[in-house]
Amino acid sequence: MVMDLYTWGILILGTVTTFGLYMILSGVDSPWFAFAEHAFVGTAIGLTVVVSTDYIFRTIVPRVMGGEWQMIISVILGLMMLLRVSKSTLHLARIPITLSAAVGVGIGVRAQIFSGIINQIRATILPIFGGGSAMDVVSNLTIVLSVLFVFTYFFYTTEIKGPLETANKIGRNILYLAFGVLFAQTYMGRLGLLTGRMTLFLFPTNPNLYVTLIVITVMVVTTWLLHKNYPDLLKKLTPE
Amino acid sequence: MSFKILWNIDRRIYYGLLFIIVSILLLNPVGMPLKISPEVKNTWQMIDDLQPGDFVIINFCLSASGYAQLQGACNSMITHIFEKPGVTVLFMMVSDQAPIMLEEIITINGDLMPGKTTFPWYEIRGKTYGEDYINMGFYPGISNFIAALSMNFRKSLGNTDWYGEDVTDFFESHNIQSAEDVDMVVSFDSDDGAGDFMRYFFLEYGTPVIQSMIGVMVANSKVQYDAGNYAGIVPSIRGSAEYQFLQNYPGMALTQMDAFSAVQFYLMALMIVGNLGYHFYGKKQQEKV
Repeated sequence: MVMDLYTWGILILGTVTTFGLYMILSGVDSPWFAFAEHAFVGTAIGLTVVVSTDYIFRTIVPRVMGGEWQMIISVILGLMMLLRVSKSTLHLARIPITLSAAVGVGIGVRAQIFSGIINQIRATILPIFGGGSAMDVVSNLTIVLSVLFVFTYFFYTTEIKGPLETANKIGRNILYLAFGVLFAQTYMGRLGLLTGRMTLFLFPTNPNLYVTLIVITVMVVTTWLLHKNYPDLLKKLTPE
Repeated sequence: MSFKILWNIDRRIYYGLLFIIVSILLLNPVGMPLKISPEVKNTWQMIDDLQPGDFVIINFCLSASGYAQLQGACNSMITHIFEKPGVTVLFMMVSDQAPIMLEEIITINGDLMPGKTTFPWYEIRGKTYGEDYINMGFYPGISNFIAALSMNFRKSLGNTDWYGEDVTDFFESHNIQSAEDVDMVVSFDSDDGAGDFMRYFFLEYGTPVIQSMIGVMVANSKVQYDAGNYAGIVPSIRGSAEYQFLQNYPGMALTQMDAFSAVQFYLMALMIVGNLGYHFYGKKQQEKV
């Protein structure tokens, strides 16, 4: 019985938060959206605090107890980040952030040169007429030409005229194509989130669907009633 | 007049229709054709080629929202790895939301070991906790942590797992010291976890890295895959569906593809409708102003 209540509670709360957040698409204020938005932020921060604290007790404390006293410096530096909360101590918080950023850049730069530059250049040097299917030739040629044309779009120190102007225009249009692809990819990603989320409510059992529908109906009706009859209350329930 | 209507469609109508289309097709999938991409086929083959004695890291750099997209990939890829005999697995997370997801995946695909009542004591496809796999839980500081991990496993991970169990024996029996001793990394990402593994495990030690990522990351990951930085990719919900098909895993990603495909046609229709409205009505109105 307790398990049932827990399961149903999760289902109802999940439905309220999910569809509460989607209610922003209606273009009108909704107390359910405000609830879901605040609950999401609060939950995420709460989880981060708990999990991070657990990490310290699970990993750092045993090492300090085991004699690795230098780990205390890490803990102190970590605690110093919390000094951002006050303007008078803000400058102290910059020390661990600077150290962390410097270490990140130091260890990341070398790898970035290989993954972001050298390997990418290698991947662009492709055989155009060196065998392979017709599709391979078209694909390789497209990559090589696109890279060259787009480069011409980023020439800033030369006057853009003549053939360079044509290449520049082609490069700009290739960039537009790439932006279109990225937008479509982003849209598909968001749609993936929607279908994934919907799956959780529509499956695996039918009664879940009925609960989802009832909860959504309650949410829509309450929002509509607040809009029509209690606009002041709605304003209080949807703080900026 | 009709073009005025097309130009001024209330957004509640097309969002409402979107929800209806998705719901209908999720509940009544029609089984639209699905072509397996070479990237996913290659990834499946790589995992299928794992040999007894191989050590695999499964990393989660996944937020709750991203999990909705990659649930299919997580389930099918993890079970595929667990079905390979003699392969040892280490789960770890660089996202604080991920431990909850992993426990759900383990519950779906595993069973409690005899005499045990709760986590971590689950058996998945014949592999037992503490011997064949462990869950080290969440570690903060994504990039810096993974760099440190590649050089010194034991110091970076500690000796206790996510549940406080001592896992010293596990590490000693498999003699894992650095990234050199790892045979494969699989990362489920809504942030760049695999990118860091690629930089510090693949580029430094040659450990192959496979990434399954959410939709917004696909373009960048494909570029990295083409450059040879990733050994394999399973892109978003589409890749999840393809992997489930290859693995013959009875999951939801394949069902979701029908809704996915239908909504793509719906979006194209909306684009045509919107452009007709703009060309024959909206543009003229703007010119008047």
